[in-house]
Amino acid sequence: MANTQEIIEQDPLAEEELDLLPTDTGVVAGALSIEDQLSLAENIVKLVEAQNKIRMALLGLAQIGDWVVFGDDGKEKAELNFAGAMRIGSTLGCSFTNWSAEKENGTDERGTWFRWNYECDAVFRGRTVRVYGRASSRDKFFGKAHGEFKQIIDVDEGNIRMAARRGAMKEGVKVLFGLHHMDPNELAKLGVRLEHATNVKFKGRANESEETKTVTVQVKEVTIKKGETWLKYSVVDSSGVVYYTFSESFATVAKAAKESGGKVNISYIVDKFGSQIKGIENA
Amino acid sequence: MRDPAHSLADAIISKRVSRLEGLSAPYPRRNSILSDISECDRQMVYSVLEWEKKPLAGPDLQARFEAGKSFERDVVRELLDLGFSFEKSQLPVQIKNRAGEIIATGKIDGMIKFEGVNIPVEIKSMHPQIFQTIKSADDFQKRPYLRKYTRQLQAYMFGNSCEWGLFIVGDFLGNWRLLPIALDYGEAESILQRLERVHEAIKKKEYPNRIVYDQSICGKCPFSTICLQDIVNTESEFVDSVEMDSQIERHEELKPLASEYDSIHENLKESFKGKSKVIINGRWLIQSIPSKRTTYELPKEVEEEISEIKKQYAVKVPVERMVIEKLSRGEK
Repeated sequence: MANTQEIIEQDPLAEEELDLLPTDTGVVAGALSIEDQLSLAENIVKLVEAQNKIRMALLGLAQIGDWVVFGDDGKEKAELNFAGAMRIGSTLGCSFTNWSAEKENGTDERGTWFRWNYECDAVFRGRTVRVYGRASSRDKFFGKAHGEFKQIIDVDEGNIRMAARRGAMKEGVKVLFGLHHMDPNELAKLGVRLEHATNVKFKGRANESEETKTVTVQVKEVTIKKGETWLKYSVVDSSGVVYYTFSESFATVAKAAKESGGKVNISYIVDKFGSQIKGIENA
Repeated sequence: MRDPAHSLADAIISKRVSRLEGLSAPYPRRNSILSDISECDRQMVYSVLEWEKKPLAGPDLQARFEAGKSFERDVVRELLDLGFSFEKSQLPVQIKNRAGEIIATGKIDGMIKFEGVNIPVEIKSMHPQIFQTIKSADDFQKRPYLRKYTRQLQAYMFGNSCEWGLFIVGDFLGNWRLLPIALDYGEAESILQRLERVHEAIKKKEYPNRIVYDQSICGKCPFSTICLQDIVNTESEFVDSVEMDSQIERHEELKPLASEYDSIHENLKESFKGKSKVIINGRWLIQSIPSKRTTYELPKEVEEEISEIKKQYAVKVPVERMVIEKLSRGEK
């Protein structure tokens, strides 16, 4: 049947961003032994100097868009994404060796699921940490479409494996260079610009996340629609873009801004009803 | 209430993404494909034995594939409008080994018969920035995935006993670049050897050894998740030197001036060509001082002979290019 075989002309796979939430990665081993700690105590000053030098260099390697800011007001943490971690890791010379990959299968009320767990040794200047990355068919990014879980047959396992492997590498870079849960304010002091970083806020206990966008706009109009048990406020900006909220206090800020002619910062998410206001303040 | 224009935009995006996701599907392979002759034998074996483990193209990449197919159709239509005979479109090609087994298959985009000669044509599209770097077929050697293009056409030319082939390359902005390529028997032989090697490995269900980690190949390999190649990067040195710092600073300051100098110098040379003395505004005296240099005015056949002789001695030698990048903490 070779003659009737379909021939598919394939271009190479482009580099795709398959990032993971920080909870999907971690350290397996690499904690300091007593001998290591004694050695560390003797050389701590030199090590701090060396680490600072490395840190200053590596912060310079990351580019705009390489950071993701997680969390709510006042508790934000900046995390490197895969592209940023690789820019730093490959330039400074972080190696990833002794890989292992394992698939876990299970069943729950929604049917069967699987999870890939990738582990490797992340190595830099003689220090080795064993790190892992995990991704599963239950992850929102891979396993859901239009708000529903996909059938297991429709889940792209190749991309899940890729994400798990990349997650382990990203974790390795962050652990080796102390880049976990960075304080955005400290990064700003070091000259790292985060204003274009993707902002992700956590929603509820389910650890689900939605991308929150922020705009600075002038309010043109605030309208009210009344239901039996609710009031929906629509805030229209000077470009005609509409944001909605059920919060009277948000609407009050918007109305005041409209009257004063001042601008407001609106943070919002896009849901099936449109752009829902999650926060509003005077700019 | 969401306005209708935004709702329409959302509906279009949603349907388009669904359609593109539907177009992205895994396909089994029974043998190597001529458009996908990699530098890594192991990757080629995975493409056949582990085809279902290759990650699917996401909507963005699938959209890029669709744009490429559309460009190919547009080129064929335009060539026909221009009066060229574009024949044997998507003609299947099979490469067999000495035992008569099919070791690779592919499809030629088409053939143009010109001045009595059949010339296989391969139509490629690429990002405008990449397009700008491709001035001749030799420039395909710059990147691993572009090197596949050369191997593909060489295999078609060899399989159809054609001495010449032609790439038609586009940038999605309406620009074309026409890149002729001659059949290189050495390259064709090397491609055949690789295809045979891979075929034998596929038959035995054996995976060839991993290549030494190469970021440009392994870093983008769709089978990296099953190959599990060690990624070994060379460590950076950290040097403290005020002198080097200031030299590099000055180097970077002068760089734009140097290229501006070259450009103005060439412009002036062209302006005063053939004029022995010119005075500008009473401030500058420009002279063309005669001198002699040796040139070799070779007949065409001698040039070709020399070129053939040089080819025999061609070797790839490692070279290094210094690239200076300012670490600017996210300001790039």
